[in-house]
Amino acid sequence: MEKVAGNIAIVLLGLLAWLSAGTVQGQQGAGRFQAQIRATATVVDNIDLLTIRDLYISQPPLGDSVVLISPIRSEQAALMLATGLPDAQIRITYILDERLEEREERIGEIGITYLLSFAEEDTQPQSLQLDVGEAILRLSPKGELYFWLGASMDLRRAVPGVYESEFIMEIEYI
Amino acid sequence: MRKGGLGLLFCLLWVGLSASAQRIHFGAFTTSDEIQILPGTLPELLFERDADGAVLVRGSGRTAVLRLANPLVTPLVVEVPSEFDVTVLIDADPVLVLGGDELPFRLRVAYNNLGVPSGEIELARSGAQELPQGTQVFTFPARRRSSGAPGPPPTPLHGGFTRPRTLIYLFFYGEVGPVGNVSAGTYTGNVQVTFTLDSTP
Repeated sequence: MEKVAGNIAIVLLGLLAWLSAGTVQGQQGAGRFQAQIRATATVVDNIDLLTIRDLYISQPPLGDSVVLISPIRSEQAALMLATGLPDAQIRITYILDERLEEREERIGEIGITYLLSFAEEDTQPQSLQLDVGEAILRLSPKGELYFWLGASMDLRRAVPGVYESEFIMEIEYI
Repeated sequence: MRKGGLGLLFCLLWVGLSASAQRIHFGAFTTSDEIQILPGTLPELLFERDADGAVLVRGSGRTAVLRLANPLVTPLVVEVPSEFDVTVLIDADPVLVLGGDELPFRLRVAYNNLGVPSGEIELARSGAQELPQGTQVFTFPARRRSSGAPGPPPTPLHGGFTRPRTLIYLFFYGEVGPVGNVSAGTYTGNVQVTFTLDSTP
């Protein structure tokens, strides 16, 4: 019987302790302070590179050893538009030099050096030319950057025919 | 035998009541202005890059990571009376939201109670105690004791008495993502932090 009474006492004490803890918590309102912290995450769209106009060279004069298509001044220059996150920094890498073989006979050869310029808007004469195969640029506040592609072609070993190439430019956010 | 048992019961009850009545909660003597956030230290959590340092592209399945060691993670610096225990309640949104789209948000918290002087953020960072992810309530002494038994209870306020004060640093960091096929843009959420003071029992 003593044991039973002891068990009851423990239960009651437990209840009392809980009640007093409740009271203490109620008093804590005095020393209390709140702060709110904001958390944000920025998710961006993929960068798209759209080719608006191809670089197309029809019947260049074979007598000249070098034909130059300026990315800043020539109307034949290709036009590309990159779109992405406004004001984002991007790294572009592209092929600088290439040798093109004649498509059918594979006798003739053209040495080609790509010339690339860029501007925030579609203003080719004000574009700035890049001279190495890599650059760190910034997209415009509208999230755009225009690129013009010209070329310097060495035709000394070229024969009449069709020459094809694919210019590859990589863009990534940094 | 039966009488003896009941006697013991009443005795224990009486002891319990008197102990409760004598308990003084020193926190009741503090006022809310004894917890002060140092101006300009309210941090903002900016999740912009994944573990490889790349931006978050939608549909990439990548997760934005802010680590404690990242200099972008600046602490919330709070001045408190150094004789008290500080209890911190963290109520963080489980997701960051943009329109109808959501990104899972996993907050981590670290604190430093070594009494690091104001402005020594890197010192505070290196000595910070990281808590497990998902911790919502934690209590620690405002000033960590290097050794020995807990000190005496705080001195009640009286005329001319100024409490010694100390700085505590709270760092907030964590992860957001993975970024599924959701809209591009800025996702936001909130972390509510509540501080209360207790005296050491």
